Amino acid sequence: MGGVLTGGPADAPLRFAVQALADPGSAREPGVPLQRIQIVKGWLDGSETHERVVDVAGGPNGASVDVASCEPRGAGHARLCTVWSDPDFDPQQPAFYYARVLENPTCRWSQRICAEARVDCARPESIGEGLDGCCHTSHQPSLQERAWTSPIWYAP
Amino acid sequence: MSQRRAAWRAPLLRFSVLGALLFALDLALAPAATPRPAAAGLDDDALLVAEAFARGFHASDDVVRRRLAQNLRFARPDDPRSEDELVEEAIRLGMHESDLVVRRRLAQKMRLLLAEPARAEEPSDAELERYLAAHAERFTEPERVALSQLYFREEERAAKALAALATETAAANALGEALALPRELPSHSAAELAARFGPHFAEVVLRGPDARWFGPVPSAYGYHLLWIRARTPARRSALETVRSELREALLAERADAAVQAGVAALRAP
Repeated sequence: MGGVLTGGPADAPLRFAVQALADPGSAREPGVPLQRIQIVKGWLDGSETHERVVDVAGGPNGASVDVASCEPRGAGHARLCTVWSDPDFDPQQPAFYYARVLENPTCRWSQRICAEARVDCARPESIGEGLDGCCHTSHQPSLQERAWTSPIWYAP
Repeated sequence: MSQRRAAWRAPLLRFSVLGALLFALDLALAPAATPRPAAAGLDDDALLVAEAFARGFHASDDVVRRRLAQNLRFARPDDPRSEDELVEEAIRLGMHESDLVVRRRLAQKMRLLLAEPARAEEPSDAELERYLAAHAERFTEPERVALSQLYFREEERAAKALAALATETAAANALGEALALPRELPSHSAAELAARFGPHFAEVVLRGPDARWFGPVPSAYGYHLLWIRARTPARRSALETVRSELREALLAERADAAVQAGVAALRAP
């Protein structure tokens, strides 16, 4: 889990191998395909913190979810795998890197309840007792489930 | 006579009768702090709470005392009296009778008390064995298989590789594509296989032949050729492997019966 890389040869690039498998799911709850793997890099510039997110495998795929039925739309990946090297790698600059994997969009758990109860915010009569939250402006109907790794620190 | 003795050896009966006797004895000896209301018309919890009041538990239980003092402090934040005095005052005001937390705590305390003799008697191995035999369906170890798998993204490539393996024109370790799952899988149950490869994979694998390549079997990731290396049939769990679950299940059953018997004794005129 994670680790620390110390300085290598001055001109050697820093490379990461990263792979992810989609959750196969179960008969009742099928798994959701993967959309992308990202690598998140963080570093310090003086006392200022910086963070950069790079898509390294997969990417925007236009997948979405029908929030009325919670049916996913669009294809994704059952597996993603790549080797990525940091184009801005500075051997003198301490940094951390971690990978995160995003699934295609799915309904948030609360939207599953709203969809099950057939709440349609355009029709106030469809909003059952205790389901006002479904139509609240702060309610987020869909999200992208994600997993992330422990960080790898680069310490020259 | 022997029949009666056999019945007496049945732990449920023994605990129920002992529980009821202890209970009756306790009722007879305990000074009644509150008169008991008529049992008829009360549900089990209300009956247990009334009994707890009768035994004075509302004045002696630490959790209840803290709750009562807290309630009164909430109503009168500047009251300088000690906790003991506040509890006395709260009881005089009847706060213990209406507070939901107090009532739940007292009902729970009564249940624990009624179950205590049943929980204190350690089941023997013979009793555990009998319980295991009577509930075999709950204590079964599933069939397991140890297998090797070769992964292919496309079904056609998997089928070609299978043909090559059948004619021995290729070695298994030279075939297959990269996948972040091991090629050699140790003993797996159907549930464990489903968790790693997807729900339908396990059913097909368990029906597969032993010690030869077969497939392609679809999974959540693509297609697999499989070789079953070893198979362990489903079997009843051995006492030693499920001892703690058995003990807990048996004690819980006895405790329930003891509580039921205690409640019935309270209802008896």
